Amino acid sequence: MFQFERSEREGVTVLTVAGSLDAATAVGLKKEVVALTDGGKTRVAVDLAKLTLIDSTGVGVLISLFKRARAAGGAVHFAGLAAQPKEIFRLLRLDRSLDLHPTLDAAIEKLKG
Amino acid sequence: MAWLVAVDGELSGRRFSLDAPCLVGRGPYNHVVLDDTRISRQHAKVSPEPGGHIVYDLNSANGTFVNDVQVKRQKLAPGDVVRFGPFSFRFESEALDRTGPIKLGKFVEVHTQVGVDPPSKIIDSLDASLATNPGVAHDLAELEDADRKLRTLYMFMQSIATTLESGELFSRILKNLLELFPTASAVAVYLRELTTGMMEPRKVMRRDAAPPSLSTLPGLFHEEVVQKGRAILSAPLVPGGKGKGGTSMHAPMIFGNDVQGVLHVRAEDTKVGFNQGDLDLLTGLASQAAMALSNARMHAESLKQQRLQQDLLLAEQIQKSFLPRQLPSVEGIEFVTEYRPAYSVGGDFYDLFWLDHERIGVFIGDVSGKGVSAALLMARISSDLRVAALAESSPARAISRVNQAVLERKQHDIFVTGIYLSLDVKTKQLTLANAGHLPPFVRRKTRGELVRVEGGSGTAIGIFDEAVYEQTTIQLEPGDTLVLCTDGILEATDELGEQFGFERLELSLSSGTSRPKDVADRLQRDLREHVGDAAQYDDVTMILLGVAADPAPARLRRRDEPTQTVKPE
Repeated sequence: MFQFERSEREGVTVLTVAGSLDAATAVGLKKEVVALTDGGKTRVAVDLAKLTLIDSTGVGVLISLFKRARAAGGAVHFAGLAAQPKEIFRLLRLDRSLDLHPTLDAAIEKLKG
Repeated sequence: MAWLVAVDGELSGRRFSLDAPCLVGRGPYNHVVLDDTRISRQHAKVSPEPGGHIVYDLNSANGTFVNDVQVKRQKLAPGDVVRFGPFSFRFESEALDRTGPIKLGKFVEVHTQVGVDPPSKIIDSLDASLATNPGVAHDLAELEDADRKLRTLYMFMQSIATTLESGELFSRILKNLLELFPTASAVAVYLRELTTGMMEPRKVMRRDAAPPSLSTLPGLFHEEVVQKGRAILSAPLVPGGKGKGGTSMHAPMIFGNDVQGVLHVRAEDTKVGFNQGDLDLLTGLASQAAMALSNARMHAESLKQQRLQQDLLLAEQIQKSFLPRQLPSVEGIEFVTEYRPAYSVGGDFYDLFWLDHERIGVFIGDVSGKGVSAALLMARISSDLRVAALAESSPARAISRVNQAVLERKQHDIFVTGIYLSLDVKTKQLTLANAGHLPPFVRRKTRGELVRVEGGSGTAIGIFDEAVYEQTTIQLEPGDTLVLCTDGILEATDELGEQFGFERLELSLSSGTSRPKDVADRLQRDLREHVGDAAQYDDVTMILLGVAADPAPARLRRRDEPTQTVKPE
């Protein structure tokens, strides 16, 4: 089971993802990522607190959001990473290069204004 | 008991039962088929109702007449002559002067439910009754009626079973429903949405030209239909009296043990709806529709599988074409490679090649994603890497170049993890850079001594422009084996969903002897034991590189110069 939701807070786009993000479930989010960045939403906080599992396809979608937003002059911050996804981010050394925050509030604080 | 008895023409003397609603028209699905251009496809309907039999004209082109008076809706009295175009029928009824049940044998009991049961049951019952009561004079009209209803189901099945495309299938189902239920104003097919489990409308059709509006359709169904799989008749007719009939029918489409969808038929005229016979017919139709839908879905699935299969075959060919066919051969160094992609093609790849007379380049990598696009990217990275490796003697700088090359291609959702190292075959010293890949291990000669190489690590390739890569140097001693693998090994899952993981990997690598072949065989065996035959696991790729325990002076042979031996300085 995988779900995502988009909302706006203080001028920042918040993308909340929950459940298992893998090759089987990533298609919908991939479309959303394209829609977001094509629609000029390039300051994005991704809330990963409810993300339970991720595979390489799933990471690929989050990375594509990051790359697309940056290419358009925006920024993507990630929040609430835990459990297996946290391990994967660490293994890929993404924890060194991506902006990770313990809470969504902290991510939004960095992105707004 | 009531009949329409043909009074002229070819049909003269034929009796058509009116105990269930009777459709009259040119279409073959009618109970009374009148094959004449002056008759509309569905011309009229005669229905048994609480107050008596009613004839309805179904907006026919040439009208319906009772005793030569054109009617839209007319209650019939015995002896009335009903005319459709050139065909005249006499209405006969015996119900009024009968008191007790009619004794016509077992057959009649069955017959009164006809249209209700699936065709096979009807046939069985007919056969049984004919066999056990050979002498009973059955009412031929009754038999014909059963036959007609059976034919209706058969025609419906014929009509819908010839398409395997679900959109077309829904259209045909709905067109048939509008024809079969003349009083219906709108019909709809709902399917269970796999993600939410809710019944969602897939297609709606109205009899009039008004565009179908979903808002007038039920959003939720009674649990009788959706959970218990029973057809229901709801919204009682306004003057209907004893709660018989309704203006809304729902029949479940059941396949396997699941209610996959619902056929919905509704009438807008609250005086003219449907009775139990109609509902039973709809139930039969819904089960046929479910079967046809299931066939269409299986067909779509097999097409998808075929396309996927072709994609995978192509990817496999691409991938195999650039994996090294031959490993460098060096005295005193043993290489073992294992490459087992899941589902015939995976994201893993590796390469081993001579950098110069003394150094061998080794790469192991894993591209996110699968299929042709991943295989093509792999092929390009493979060549990028060879170019970078020859241009840069530092593995960290070589990886950095590959990172730039991958970023320039702007394939936003793909990234690569990998380890690139150069091995000096004389000194047995290696320098490696790790781009977000599973760390390598060095298995020392002594049992139990295992080192996880955490140094020289940087971010996966293809994510950051400004990524900085580091490298680390390791001295291999006689009897040491370096192990590079992809994370498919960690993720190999057993029947209970437990992953192989670091602990089991390290335990396997540190036991037994340190010879590369032994280490590889042991790891394969431990993986198989862990997974059992429960599940297919992800790609498993590994490269092992061992230094002979009792080293003779290294003698090198280049792959492209197989016979020449080069003496190290």
